[in-house]
Amino acid sequence: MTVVRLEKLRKVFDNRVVAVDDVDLVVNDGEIVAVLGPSGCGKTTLLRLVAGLEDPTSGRILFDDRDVTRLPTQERNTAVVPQTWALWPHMTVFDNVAYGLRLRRKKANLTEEEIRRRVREALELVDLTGLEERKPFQLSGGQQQRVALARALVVQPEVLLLDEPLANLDAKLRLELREEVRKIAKRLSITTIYVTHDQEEAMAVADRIAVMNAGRLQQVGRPEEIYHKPANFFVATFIGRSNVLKGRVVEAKGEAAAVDVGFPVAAQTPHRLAPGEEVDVVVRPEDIFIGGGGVKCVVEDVVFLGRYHQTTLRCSGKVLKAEGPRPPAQPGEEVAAEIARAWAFKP
Amino acid sequence: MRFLQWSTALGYAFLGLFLVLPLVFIFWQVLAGIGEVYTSITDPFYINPSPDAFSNAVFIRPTDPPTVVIRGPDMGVVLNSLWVALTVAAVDVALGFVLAYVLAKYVFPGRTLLGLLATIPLIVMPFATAYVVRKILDPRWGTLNWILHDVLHLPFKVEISGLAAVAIVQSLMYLPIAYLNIYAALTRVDPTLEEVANNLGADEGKAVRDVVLPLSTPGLAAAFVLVFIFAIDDVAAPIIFQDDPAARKLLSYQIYSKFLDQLRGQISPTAAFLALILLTISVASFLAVRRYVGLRQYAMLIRQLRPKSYVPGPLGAVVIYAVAFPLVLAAAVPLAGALSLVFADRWTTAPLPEGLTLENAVERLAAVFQNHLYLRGMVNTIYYGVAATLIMVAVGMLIAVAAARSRGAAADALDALATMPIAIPGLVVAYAYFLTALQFATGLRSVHPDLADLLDPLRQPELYLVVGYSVRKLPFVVRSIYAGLQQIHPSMEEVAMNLGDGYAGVLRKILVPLLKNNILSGALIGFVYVTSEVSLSITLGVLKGVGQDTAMPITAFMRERFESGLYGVQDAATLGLLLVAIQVAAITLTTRVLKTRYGFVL
Ligand SMILES: Nc1ncnc2c1ncn2[C@@H]1O[C@H](COP(=O)(O)OP(=O)(O)OP(=O)(O)O)[C@@H](O)[C@H]1O
Ligand SMILES: [Mg+2]
Repeated sequence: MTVVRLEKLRKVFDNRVVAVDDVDLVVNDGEIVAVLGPSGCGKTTLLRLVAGLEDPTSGRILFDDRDVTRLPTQERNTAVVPQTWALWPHMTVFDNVAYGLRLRRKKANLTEEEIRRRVREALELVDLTGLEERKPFQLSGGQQQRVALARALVVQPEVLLLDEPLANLDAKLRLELREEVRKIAKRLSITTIYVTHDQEEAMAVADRIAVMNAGRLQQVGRPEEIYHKPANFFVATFIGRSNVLKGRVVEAKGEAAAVDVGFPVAAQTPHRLAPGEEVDVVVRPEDIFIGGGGVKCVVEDVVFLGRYHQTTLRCSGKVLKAEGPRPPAQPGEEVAAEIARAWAFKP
Repeated sequence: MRFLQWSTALGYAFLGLFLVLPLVFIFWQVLAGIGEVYTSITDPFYINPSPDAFSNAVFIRPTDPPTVVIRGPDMGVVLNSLWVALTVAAVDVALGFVLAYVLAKYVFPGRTLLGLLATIPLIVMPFATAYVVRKILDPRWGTLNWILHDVLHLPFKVEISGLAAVAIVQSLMYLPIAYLNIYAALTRVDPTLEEVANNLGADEGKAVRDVVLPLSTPGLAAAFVLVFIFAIDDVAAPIIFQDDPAARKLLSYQIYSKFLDQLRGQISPTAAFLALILLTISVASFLAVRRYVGLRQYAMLIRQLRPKSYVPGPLGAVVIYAVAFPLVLAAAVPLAGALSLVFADRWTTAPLPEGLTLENAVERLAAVFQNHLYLRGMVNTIYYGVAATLIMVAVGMLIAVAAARSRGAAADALDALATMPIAIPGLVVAYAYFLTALQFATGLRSVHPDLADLLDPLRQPELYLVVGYSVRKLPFVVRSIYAGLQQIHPSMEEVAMNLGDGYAGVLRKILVPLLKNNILSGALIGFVYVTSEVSLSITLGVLKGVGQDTAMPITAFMRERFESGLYGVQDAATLGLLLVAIQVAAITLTTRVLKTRYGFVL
């Protein structure tokens, strides 16, 4: 249906705060893209720009080939679900959901009967039949979230814009609902931008993830790419757990580099590195294997965390955290640790 | 939770003794003389809904050029009070809505200026500003007719007098109250609620109609009732126009004039009955809106960050520059006029004040400072203000904590009772205090003559003034502290108590520091309102006369000067300027401490 294209999109507040900084992004037809980043990085602002609730300072927004940059929010045919859901407290569930349809009654030639049918369908879609006459404050958090989703979906928007839609719910409900949101968006094959600061949620919901920091996109890619091939230090440390070690390049060739961090490490790098250069080396805990060959370390502590054991190692003066299915050794024992994968980034 | 029980009990004791008891005493007076009351109250002077009440409401007097006379219908004292106050409330809510809407919703050049101008009429110089309106409306020498006839050469003149004039003065006086309340109501609505409507296709008008208005109706209703109560309670405007018999036919003026009779030794059950009517109307409307507003508290989901604003369309621009700006300028004219009285040689038979010089102002101010009575009045005003504020803060803190932190009917009722004085006309309080205290002191005389002297309202009105002021303005302090308490999660107090502290310690170590701003701004509002209070000041305040040890505050002197001949009103305006100076000093001091802007809590 609709491809969303953001070109050099930029938003500056009060001539000072650069909330969104030269963002280029394409969201394909029917695709779900998660915008992921720490608090204050500009996710909400980006979403509001696409919704037309904020005017960009510069740049363009295209829906397919139509330039909608200056189109008011009323004419964009997007539907937002704000973080607070913003259900109108004085209207019933039915009236909340029907609101957008009633505005389109003339243009889309809708009868009251059709409106009622479509509201019912939308509520069915989000699994909420029978609550039409309740007021929002008579619903649980999860139910309110579903109403907000139904209100957005019922107008059949070209683009669905969700701003941390699950942030106000408890952990268990979040897991349930994120699958449901993905299922519904896929069933309707609707182009969706999903803002979140929870990386697991982003991976579970999205086809692709756009990692954002300080107003800029850091990397856009499938969850595996982001996880296994981080484009820079920020992405490498923001996604997943990681050890960070300061080191010096010994030898570099293309994407591979040998780095001395107190002991030798073979690392991948997106940069052109030269021997002698200082770098930050990022190692994921699950990429450290204990008991094979490799660098000699002392086990300082082992804790059980349910799905895995976390082992704290001291290797040539550096502290590393490793994860594995079994406790590899007792505290105080000496072991050999192999670093199977590492990345080196210019600081 | 012994502490909460104690503060609840203390709150009830304070309000019971100083509010409920004196009011019940009036009831009792009415019942005692019900026969006489009945015959007098059925007189058409009090209630006259017949059609000929409207015959002189608006007519054309065949002068040359013809004069359009607007006086408003005279339906008797009770109905007059109702229609005047209802008109004032309706006009102010309508105009206040226009102002509030424009300021809350539009970005346009001059927005800050408009907001500033709109709040200017909050500064009142009692009597002086109303006198200026009288000067402007004066049929013979007034500014209005001078503009219509001599400047614009229109073939008619306008005479606005009687009740219509009272309504105009009151509308100007209470416009900022309506505007500030409606503005607060409009901006309290979470902007995302409106944005979602916009996003689904609703334009400005539709989103405001469907979302903003329904969610701010409680605020609009509160503004309406507040202005209604203030208007029906007001006695300053009728006093200004008292030369016109029609302007005297209002409940407030009747009670006031009969209060004066009372001082001459005639107990009047009619006055008590009129006070009761006024009280019933005010309290009933207050309770109605309180219930309604209470039910709709859910309107606010989250604290708003920045209100949703629109760029005004052509219609919006017309409203801003052709309605809103002229309106606030017109509303600021009385204050400007009152100030000009301080600088003018005179303003009597000319359309505009004559001979404005700085020397005049210096001379008048110097005269005030050389007059021992006026100095005494200033000292009185400051003394009353400070003493009443201290009482209000102490009692208000206990009541707010009790109401906010304990559950149950007793706490709810205490909250209602502490807010109630907003709806209790000052004249009724004055009347009730005087009557109760007089009877009590007379009864006490045979038992304990010394104590009776100490409690005699004719000898020690200061006592009753301070208590009366603090009861009347208590709601503003309680609401301010209560609002702060709602922002503080009770777990803060629970943690301290869990660690072993008592509630008194919690109050001192946790709540007072956290509520510092609310307490200070509540105290400031209380102080400003006490120092500009009129009803108690011109009744209880004059009980001891104008001697060296007078109990009169500045407002009472202003009333006295206003009555005393041609140039008296200019002295009144000068005193008013000093009153404003005292208030501005208090505001400046508090804003320094708070390091924020002066926020109105209403
Ligand atoms: N209306 C505004 N005026 C000024 N600054 C703003 C405005 N809106 C947002 N900002 C600033 O822009 C930056 C990005 O804000 P934004 O709300 O987009 O962040 P976010 O990524 O959604 O954060 P969070 O995860 O906390 O919701 C912040 O520094 C914020 O303070
Ligand atoms: Mg956000």
